[in-house]
Amino acid sequence: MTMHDLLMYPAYIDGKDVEHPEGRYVHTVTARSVLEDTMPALALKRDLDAGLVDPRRAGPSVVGGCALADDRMAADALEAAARAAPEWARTSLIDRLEIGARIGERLREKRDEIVELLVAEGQPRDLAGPTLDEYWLADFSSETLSFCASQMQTSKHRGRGGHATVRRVPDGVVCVNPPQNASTPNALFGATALLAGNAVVIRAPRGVPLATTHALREVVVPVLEEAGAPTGTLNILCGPPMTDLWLQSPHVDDIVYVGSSAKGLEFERAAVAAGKKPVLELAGNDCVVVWADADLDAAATSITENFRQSGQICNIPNHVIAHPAIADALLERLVAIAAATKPGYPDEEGVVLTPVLMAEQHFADIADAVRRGARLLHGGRRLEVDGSPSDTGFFVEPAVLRVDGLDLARSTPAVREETFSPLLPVVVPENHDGLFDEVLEFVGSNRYGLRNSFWVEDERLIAAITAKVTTGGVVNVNDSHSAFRPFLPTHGGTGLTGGVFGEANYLMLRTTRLQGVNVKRGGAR
Amino acid sequence: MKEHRVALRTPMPADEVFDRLQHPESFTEAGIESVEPTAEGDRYALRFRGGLARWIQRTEADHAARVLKFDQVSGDFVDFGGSWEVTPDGTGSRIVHRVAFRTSVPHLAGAIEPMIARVLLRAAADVVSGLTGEAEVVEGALHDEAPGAKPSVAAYTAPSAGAALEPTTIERRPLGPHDVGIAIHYCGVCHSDVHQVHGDWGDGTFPMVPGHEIAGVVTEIGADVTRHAVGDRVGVGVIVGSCRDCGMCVQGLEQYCAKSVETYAAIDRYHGGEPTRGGYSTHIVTDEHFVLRIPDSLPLDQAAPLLCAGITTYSPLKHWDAGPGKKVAVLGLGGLGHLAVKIAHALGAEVTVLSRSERKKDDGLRLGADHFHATDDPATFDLLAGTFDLVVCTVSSRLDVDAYLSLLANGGTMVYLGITDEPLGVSVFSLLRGRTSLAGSQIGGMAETQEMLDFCAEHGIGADVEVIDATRINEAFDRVRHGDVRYRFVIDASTFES
Repeated sequence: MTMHDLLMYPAYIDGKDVEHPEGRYVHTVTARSVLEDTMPALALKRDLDAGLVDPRRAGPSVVGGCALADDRMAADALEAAARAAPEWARTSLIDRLEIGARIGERLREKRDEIVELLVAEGQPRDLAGPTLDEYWLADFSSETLSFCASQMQTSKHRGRGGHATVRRVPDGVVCVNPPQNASTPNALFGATALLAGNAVVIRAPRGVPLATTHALREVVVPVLEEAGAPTGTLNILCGPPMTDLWLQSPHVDDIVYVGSSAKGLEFERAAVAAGKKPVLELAGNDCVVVWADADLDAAATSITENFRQSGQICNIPNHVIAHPAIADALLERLVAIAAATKPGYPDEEGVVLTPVLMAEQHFADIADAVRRGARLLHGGRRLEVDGSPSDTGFFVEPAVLRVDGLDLARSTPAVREETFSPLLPVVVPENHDGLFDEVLEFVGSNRYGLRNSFWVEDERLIAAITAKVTTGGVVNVNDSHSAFRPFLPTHGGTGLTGGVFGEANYLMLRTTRLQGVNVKRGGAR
Repeated sequence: MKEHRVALRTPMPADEVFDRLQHPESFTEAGIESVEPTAEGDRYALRFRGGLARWIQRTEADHAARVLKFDQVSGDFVDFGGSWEVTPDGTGSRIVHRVAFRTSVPHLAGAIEPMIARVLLRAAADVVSGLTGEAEVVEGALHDEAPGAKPSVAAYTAPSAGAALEPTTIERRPLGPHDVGIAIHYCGVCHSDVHQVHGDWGDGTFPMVPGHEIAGVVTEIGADVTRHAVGDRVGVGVIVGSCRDCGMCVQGLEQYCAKSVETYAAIDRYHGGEPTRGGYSTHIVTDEHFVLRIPDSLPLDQAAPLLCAGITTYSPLKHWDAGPGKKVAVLGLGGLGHLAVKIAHALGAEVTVLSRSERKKDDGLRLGADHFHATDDPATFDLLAGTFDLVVCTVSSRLDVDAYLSLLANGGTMVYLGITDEPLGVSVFSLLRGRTSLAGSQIGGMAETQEMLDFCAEHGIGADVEVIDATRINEAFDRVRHGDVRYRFVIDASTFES
């Protein structure tokens, strides 16, 4: 067997490459090989991680690996960050913004190689590239960076050369825990805490560490090094969850936690008790409202963003309210798109579905909704990677449910709770004069608060939306539900999505704190 | 590690099952590619998604407990192990197979591991079936929860008005939160079924699945059902829906609700406007409010007609106080009439049967009547003039109403239960003379129907039935039309499946 080049990343702590004391690595075996012949691929991965097989001789299904971090390494990363934080915080805001812009540029340059690794880890190619693009277009855009900068400091000149300043100062050390379903984007988002003047520790999850580590090492680290940032400003390691260590460590100030609502809110309480600021990115249960005058084709395209990654991303639509006048026409479009959405290997074009981690829940959600009176219009089967129905397949057919009436919608968990699968409940309310207000109330009563979208042309109704929909991180009118746009927030929300302190999330703002500075000349009067 | 398990039952005795399980080389069931004994242990190859899962396992037997424990020595898993446990169950045995494992791709484990578990458990279930010849899975989900496809069930339908009934399959709605799924055991043939299928009443919708005298057993309940449990003996009568909000419904008189929904040939306004389909079928799904308990002492075949004929007679007898000291005439001794006699007698009334001829006299007296008179004898009307507190009319043929009104005592009531679509010719003088009433009554409310079933159970009242196979429905319809049945046909629902 031939040797081939692999991407092997040690941990990056205090500006240095650090290996596990026993040389342990977690290896990336391509998702394609796992889908093609599962059991041998699983056995190979096990033997690679156990050090029984030389990854350079293991064939093309192995792409690389990341050093596993032990407790000592995890603690060292926190100490390094704490040492770097004061100096890094003194870097001027102008310099940090410049670093942000350069990260964006470099992300653009490195896009394709990161995409290859995301695909190897199982992200469909059709999603991986556009998702990365949205980060340099949004989080690292000049519009977003300058908006955040405008919030960082405002000074008023006072008499005799005195001044009053209100500014945001960095919290210190921010630890970031990206999720397995969207590790790389959330790690890049986490890196924006650097731009506020925080030192950052990012843990790449063991399941999919390679694209994340590569992106941070090849995009962010070089920019920081070029700028002369102190060592330890950014630390990157791969390992088991480290939140307990972070909560206990005196070095840690903020923890960015991305995960489910139940665990996230529990974490929030533990963080507050430990004196750490929790910044939560939890579940969304986003609603798309399609009114009678909407552009149905555009609305259907936006709604079926639900099928991306088989619904296993948070910022996608989770349920729809369709005006009864257009409900049938909209459902027809949704069913057609669902039927045309096929599983496949992540490297194939046109694939957006990925294996479903909670398929049993998916079928239970559908069965429950149908028992309550919903109608299943499409879906309800497991699929093999080639699209054939198979009850041992890893994929599921995108499902479209029709739920008649807001009362039924209110009592149906598939509508009211986040479902993490390709499942689109479409609520068709009964028409009456006060329907729009009732729909706004329904949207407002969502316990989650990530994003909500409206497809409507009537200007008076658009005005009512902007006046009345005050929950959630983003309200879209007539735009892609999940797209990230420059200047607008990409993350954050209210309720079960953001926790008690939840709001739209720019980490430059959320990992800093307001402070007033009052400098007088000539003494108090 | 998450444990996955499946439990099976088989008629084979436990020792024999345990013995066979110790010879894995004989496992040649569908999912298993091969099992070979080796020095290290048994080498398994199991088919999984077009490829194979391979491992070698070492097994330890505890003969006294009939337990086999196995663990992976080497193979595809990070960890793998489990057990077989065989316990006697009556003369047969119960077998529990447990397995737990770990794989190495954490971010896809959620998708992969449940499917590996499914394949392992299915193989185990197949092994037990293969070894014992016959085994039934009693615990453990080997499939996903059904995604709510409408269950398809066997039924008999009339394709158009007047056509003969023929076998078909129909869809029942998926179980809603308040719904009860019922396996029908018997369904009575009511005279209304004959009229409806014939299109006599002009409002039938076709194809039509008749039947509103349904008795069976609960097989499934919706999430919010509180009145019934799986295994309960239950019945469904003439209505399956009402608004539950109007004055009638609030009083428990759902049968008079303007928005009530009949069990067949109606539009179900409460379930998406689908046409209702009746009990000539193997299964039905009904809102729990319209499902009645059938007491254990009532045989289901005899209970079925009570759901229509029973309540249709019980309700007016109760309403007009049939009881000790009251004289009740039952006009017509057919499906309704024979139950009217039994119930009126059990209520303590003095019961007279008025039948066309003397032909059914013995039956009438046997059923509990105190007197029997033939109406083709003109002397009957002279003899019984001014006698009855209540005349219960169960016939659907044309009558000389004035003649029957003359049989009422002062203040008495003649109540129509049998349905005729022709106008009644009544002289007002017949009503004035004795301050008599001419009335009608239609089945009963849900609470009263339950009361009737309990009353019948207490007094040992069931319908006199002739149980038929579904293939004889058309013949039965003819015989009902000619009054040739004593006293109710009841279809054995197991014969709807051809």
